Amino acid sequence: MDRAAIAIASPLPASVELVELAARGDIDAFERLVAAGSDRTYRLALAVLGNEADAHDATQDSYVTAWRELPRLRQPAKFDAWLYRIVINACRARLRSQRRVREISFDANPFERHQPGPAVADTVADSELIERAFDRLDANRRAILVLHYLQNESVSSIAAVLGIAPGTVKWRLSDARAALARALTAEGETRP
Amino acid sequence: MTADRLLTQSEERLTQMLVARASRSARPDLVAEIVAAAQATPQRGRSIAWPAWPVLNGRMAIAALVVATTVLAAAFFLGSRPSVNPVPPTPSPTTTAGPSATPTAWAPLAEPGWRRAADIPGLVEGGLNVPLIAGVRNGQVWVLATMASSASEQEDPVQHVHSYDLASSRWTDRGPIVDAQGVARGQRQGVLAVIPDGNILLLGQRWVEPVPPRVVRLPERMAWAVSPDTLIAVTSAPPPEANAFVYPRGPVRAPDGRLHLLEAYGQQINTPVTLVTYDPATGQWVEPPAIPTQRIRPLLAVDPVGGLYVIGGGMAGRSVVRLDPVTGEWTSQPDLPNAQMVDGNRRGSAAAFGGDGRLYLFSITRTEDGGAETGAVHRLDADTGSWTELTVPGVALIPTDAITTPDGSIMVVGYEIDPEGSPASWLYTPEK
Repeated sequence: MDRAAIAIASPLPASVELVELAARGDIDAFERLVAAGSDRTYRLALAVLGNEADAHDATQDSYVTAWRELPRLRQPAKFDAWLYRIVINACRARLRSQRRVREISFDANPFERHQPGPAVADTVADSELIERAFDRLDANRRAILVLHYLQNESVSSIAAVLGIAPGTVKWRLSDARAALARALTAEGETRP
Repeated sequence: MTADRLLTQSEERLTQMLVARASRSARPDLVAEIVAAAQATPQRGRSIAWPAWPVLNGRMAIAALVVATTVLAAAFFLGSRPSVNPVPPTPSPTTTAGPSATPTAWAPLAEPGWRRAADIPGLVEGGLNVPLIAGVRNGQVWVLATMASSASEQEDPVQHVHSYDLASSRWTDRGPIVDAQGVARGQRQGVLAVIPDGNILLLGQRWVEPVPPRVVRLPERMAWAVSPDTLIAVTSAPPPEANAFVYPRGPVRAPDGRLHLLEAYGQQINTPVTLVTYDPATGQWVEPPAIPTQRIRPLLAVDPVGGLYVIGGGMAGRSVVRLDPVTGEWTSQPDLPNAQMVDGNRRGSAAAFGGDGRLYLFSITRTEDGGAETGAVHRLDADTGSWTELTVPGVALIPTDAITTPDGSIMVVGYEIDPEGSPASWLYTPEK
């Protein structure tokens, strides 16, 4: 499935009416929201986490959180962005709860451009290498890369999902790209 | 190959990898599982009967589930849905529900006015020093201070516990928090709270192992026993939410011994807070009616009869509300003189009731560009329903926390308003 296909398969934005009903405790309305959006939500979690069981749990946790917090959602029209933010938070929590999964810090200088060695350049096309490099990133960087490269979200949409300013999105995107380049370098150097 | 070219190529591969990674569909039973879990989860602010509801979390007890489901069902069938009491749009001084009693035996040990306490030991001038008050225990004010003297240390600051003896005016460094094996850890975002049995709770803690690669633990609510010089973990409990942290400001203890604190759910520091209550007698966390207005990092104070004041905060402007401990109703209080006094900034404001039964708010007046200018103290007078600005001669403090001491004075900790940000603490004794 390509990115365009995923975008086409995406549901229409959640109905404001359904969101308002669910916020008033209508479980049937909530079920319709889940049925319409859970697959896309699951794919988002799967892209960030890379593990089906974790993605399943993160999706379930996210919707339960959304159900519990719905009465506090002031702008039902922004349900989708709000739910995505919950999903991203659930992914962050899941990554952090896995003590085996370590957040490798690439904070030395987000603007620093690393010059990869020849070995890395030769293997950059290796998607397995990219996936391993991607999995070295922390949750925040994974999330913003997924939103941009997989979901094809605009800067303003990413800003709404992550609850940050558009300018910060651009900076974080640049930071995540640089971190990925450094992770590729590290993977290339440790590759057998 | 240049890094730019590498990035361009890897971006294409990244997209392909992510598409392949996300190509699997969710299990068919996911929707049913989610709906079943949601049905067992009460919606926040709708079904909470103060103070009967335990705080529910991902590992909620079966018993809580049964109770929650039963009450929810009853609420739906009966058509009665307990909700948060709306805030009157225009608070009137005559309807303000302030503290109805003041301590009858208020006998301040000091003359009215300000006096500087000794500096907290170990805090670094110009460093990241965030002293937060845990409470008063055996005549000592216990403080948890996050200390980092450099930018690199600010990634993994060390938290030391200090106690200030009110009789001798001396600080004692109790050392860092250690685990059962005596190992200290770099920590952040935690708060301490003294409970009536003398134990100290560590709330909302995340710890960060001091050497990279970092491992960030989930927040925890842990109980710590106090030995003469160290705090040692004795037990722990799951957090209220897997993704929660406690708003890093000292919780307040009501006259009945219950602890009230503000929690922010999520990883964003700018997340609106939720009020939760811990009853040491039962060991249960309960959730009061939701705060009427969403707020980011407001202040919390408790009056002499147990009324809870939630003051200002980001998104809330000048709003002040009070939760009646008996009826569970929120009522509006006189608005803050200006919204900048408690604007959601982590530092720069603190509040506590004095022995005179009045609420004191310590803040700073900022310049237009956000720089600190001068300290300010305001008093809420329940009799007149108005705020009064008090003079603070010689005190230039950026407060981080405040607490009422046993003699009715207020201890304020924070920084001096100077280029170095020197850590400082003051005692204020209200006039009779």
